[in-house]
This record gives sequence, C-alpha cells and structure tokens, in this order.
Amino acid sequence: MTHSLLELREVSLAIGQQQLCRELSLRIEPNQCWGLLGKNGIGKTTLLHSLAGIRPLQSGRVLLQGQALSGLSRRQLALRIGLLFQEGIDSMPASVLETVMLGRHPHLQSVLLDSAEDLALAEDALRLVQLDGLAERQVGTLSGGERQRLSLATLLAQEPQLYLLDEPSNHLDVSFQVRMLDLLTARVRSQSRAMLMATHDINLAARCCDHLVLMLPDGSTIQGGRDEVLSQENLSAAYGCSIKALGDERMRLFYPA
Amino acid sequence: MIGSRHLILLGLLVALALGSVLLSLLSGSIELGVFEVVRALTGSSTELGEQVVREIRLPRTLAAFVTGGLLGLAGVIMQVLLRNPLADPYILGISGGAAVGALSAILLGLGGLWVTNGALGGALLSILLVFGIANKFGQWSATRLLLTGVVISAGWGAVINVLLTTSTANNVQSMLFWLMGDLSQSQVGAPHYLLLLAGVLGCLWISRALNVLAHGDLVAMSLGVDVGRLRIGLFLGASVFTASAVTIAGSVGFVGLVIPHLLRMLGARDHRILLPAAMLLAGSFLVIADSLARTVVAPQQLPVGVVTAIIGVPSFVLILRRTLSR
Repeated sequence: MTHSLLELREVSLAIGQQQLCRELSLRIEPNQCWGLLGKNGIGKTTLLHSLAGIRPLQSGRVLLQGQALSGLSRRQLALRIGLLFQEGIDSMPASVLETVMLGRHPHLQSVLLDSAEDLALAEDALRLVQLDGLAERQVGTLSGGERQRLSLATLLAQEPQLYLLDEPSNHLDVSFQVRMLDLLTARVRSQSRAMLMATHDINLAARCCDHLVLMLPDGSTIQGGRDEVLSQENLSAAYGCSIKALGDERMRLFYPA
Repeated sequence: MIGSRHLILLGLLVALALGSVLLSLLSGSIELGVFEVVRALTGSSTELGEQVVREIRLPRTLAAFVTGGLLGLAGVIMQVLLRNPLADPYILGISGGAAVGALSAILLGLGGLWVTNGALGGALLSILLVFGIANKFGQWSATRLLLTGVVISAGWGAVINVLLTTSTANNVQSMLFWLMGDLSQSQVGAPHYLLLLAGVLGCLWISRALNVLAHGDLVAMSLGVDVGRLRIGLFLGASVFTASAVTIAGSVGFVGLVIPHLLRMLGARDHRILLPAAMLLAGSFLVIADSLARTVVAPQQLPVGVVTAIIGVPSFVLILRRTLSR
C-alpha cells in the first residue's frame, strides 16, 4: 500500500484551555492543492504549525509518507515540509539574497561554503517572484508586498514536498496574488508536490485549490473536493453569517449577503 | 553571505591581531626594538630585556588576547540567543558571582591562585543558580533566563557592596582593580588556549544555524534547526567562555557588548564571518587596551577595563554616526 504524502489521524488541537479542531482526519496526496478555510481564531495557523512540527499536537498522529512526524528530525522535516509564515520572515538586518539562502539551510552540504548549486537555486527563486533586481537590497527597505514575495522565494528555494502556506496573499496586490499562487500550483502539479494553504479569501481558495477543508466553530470540519465543500450552506455555517454565490459552473464568486 | 570584502576584513583583523601583539611586546618600561623582541621570542638568552619579554610581557599579552577573544565570542552568542542588542556576556550574572568569589578570597587575605579559584567557583555557582531557577520542565526561555540573570546580578551586586564597605582600604584597592578588569595578575595556560580554539571551531561549526536562529525560534525550527538543543549548547558555551574570561582578568566590561555591534555595523552580519572576526577584534582590542593601561601612567597601572571604555566609547560612537549617515 502506498502512503499518502501527509496523513492526519484524529488530530485534536488546543491553545491553553481553548479547544480548536477535534479529531481531524485528512489525507493529502501528491498533486493536490488544499485550501484551509475558517473564521479568525478557529485554529488555521495552529494547525499549519502543528503539521510543520513546530507545535505539539494535543492528541492524534500525523504521518509524513507513512512515518510519524514525531519520529523525524528537524532537518528531515524541513527537507520535506516548508512553511510560509503569516508574518513573513522578520526584517533582521540581512540582504534579500541572504534571506533566500535561509531556505537552502536544510539542504546545505558544507559547513562553511555556499555551493554554486544552492546559490543558483536561490537566484532562480528570486527571479520567479520577480525580485531578482533586488538581491543586494536590505530586507528592512522592502515594501510589504516585496517582503511577502521574498518569503515565498525562501520557501521555493527550500523545495519541500509539501508547501504549507499561511495567508500567502497577505500584502500582495491582485495581480501578484494570482501570479504567485499560479506559480505554486504549477510547481505542485509539475513536480508531484502538494500544498495546504490557509486563507480568508474564499474566492482565492476557489480559484487555486482543488480540495478544501472548512473548519467549523464546533471543532468539526467539512472536507473534500472544491465543489462539494464550497456551498452557500457550508460557508454560512463556517463563518456564522450568510454567504451567497454568484455565477455559473465555470466560475463562482462568493460574497457576504 | 561571504563576499570578498569579508575575507579582506578577516585578513585585516589577523594582521591587526599580530600587530597588537607586537605592540604589546614592545611597550613597557624597558625600551626594546622589534629585532630584540623577535630574538627574545625565538631564542633563550638570559639577558634581562629578553627575559622580560618572554616571562612578563608575552604571558600577559596572550592572557589579554584570550580574555578578549572569549568575551567577543560570548557576546555574539548572547546577542543572538536573547535577541537583544543590550545582551553582553555578563547579562546572566556570571561576572557578579565570579566577583563575589574573587573578592571573598581577597578579603580573607588569600593570594593569586585563590582569587582565580574563587572567581571560577563563583562563576560556576552563578551559572547553576540562574539555570536552576529559570528551568521550567527542562526548557529555558530567553525571557526567563534574562530576568533571572538580571535579578541574580542585582543580588551579587549587593554582596559585592557589603564586601567593599567592610574591607580595609588596602583590600579595597585590589578589589576595585578586579571589578574593573585587570590583567596584572593574569595567568593563562594550555587549557585556556584550547578553550579559545575549541570555541572558535565550535562556533564556526554551528555558524549557519546561528544565521537562521537570528530570525527567531519558529523560523529556525521550520528550516530544520534543532532549536532546543542548540540553545542549551549555546548558553552553556557562552557561560563557560565568560566564566573563563572573568577568571583570567576580572570583569572587563564593554568588549563583549560593543565589539559584535561594531562588526555588524561594518557589514559582518553572517555568523561565519562575525564569530571569528569578533574573536580576533576583541582579542586585539584588549591587547592594545592593556598595552596602554600599563604605559600611559607608568609606573602606575590602570585597570584595563577603564581603558577599554575610554578608547571604545568614542570609536563606537564614530562608527555608529558614520553608518547612520549612509
């Protein structure tokens, strides 16, 4: 039997005394783009951090290609799972190229020297997010959108099997939102990777993702193919307000009524 | 990222280190030329001048370099770990504990070796106290360590004041020298050189992980750094470096705080460069400061800690202003 890229078995999460999701089971296969939707504070970020192995689970198991997450070293994890933080990588005094090179950290071979291959991958990643002209700039001098693209470039340079994205469209204008996510989904499909993206933008999720997890206020979830999950009833239940759809089979737009 | 200008910087610092050692060997009450100093180092003549170089000036110079180097490394590590620009090697109270140990030995009228051992014992006690109190389920958070360190330091400060106010004038003089940092009684041997060497190599080994850790624990974890283990190792390493430095020379201030900042302002942010550069610059800086400390008001001597501040403050301000205006 082949293993899923990522499998969650009855995962429960809590922050302090507050129960977030309860007994979530989920399988993410290669070539799939999953969207993670739910209200503010429902636990999307907590779930992503737990899946990246940087937060403990309350209960349940997470298997990465059949191996328990808890049994893998940090480096083994970082070679296979990459996480785009909601706040981005903070503006420590560092240049753009230095920051992208952080993404190569789990792959580094030499203790001291940068390999030409790592540098080439970092420069490729900068070119993909259209920051190649700014390689020598200080991160602190970048705009919010440029910084978000820099974080994306760092993730691309990391080349994980599974991309975990926390609000990837933050600070990006409409054209970059679409371009950056098309870039990621194309990479997922051409290289048999997978992605799980938390977002508050239902329409962006509908555009980029083929599968969705909808986190509900009672701790349960609705999951499945995009078109089954994205219904007016499901979304209204998840967000606690009336949400209506507009459009046809080809393209639907959701808006609060 | 390492660029050619970083390699040039390192090259200049090596040259500075050699130059400062030579300067230190040349300065003193007996006038000697470069040629005589070199001959003293290579030969074994029993002529007075050469003996002074070999047996008095060289050991003291090396003690200054080792002390500075250890403080430079500890300063860089503490600033990354606590992510606080005000962090210095003494922030966890190590120098306070060492001071109480050393001052007690002076108070009891015990000499050289006992003062050293007292300082070492006090430093170790302080490390145990801080890590013991800040420990929470085997985890040490930066904030808890920082707070505990500051509180323990304040406690040591009070004890130091009691010792100072209850001592005879004669003892107070040596106590003040110790507190300000002084190399006139310093002894270093093979263990110190080995510690400095192992420290630099160990730091280089993990320097890339430090680059990642500087961006915060979560980012570092997600990029494959075993943050928990790295932190404990770094805290212990920095504590041992600091304890050794204060054992050699008392609490020499300023070096561990300012040298890392100075190098970052000069563009050495990558820890692969910053760590060896901080070791070299802090070592050279202390060697030069000590040369001045024993010659400026000769035959009197100044505590080296006073000189580090007197030449360090203006140069730091100058570089700060120049980098800000750019």
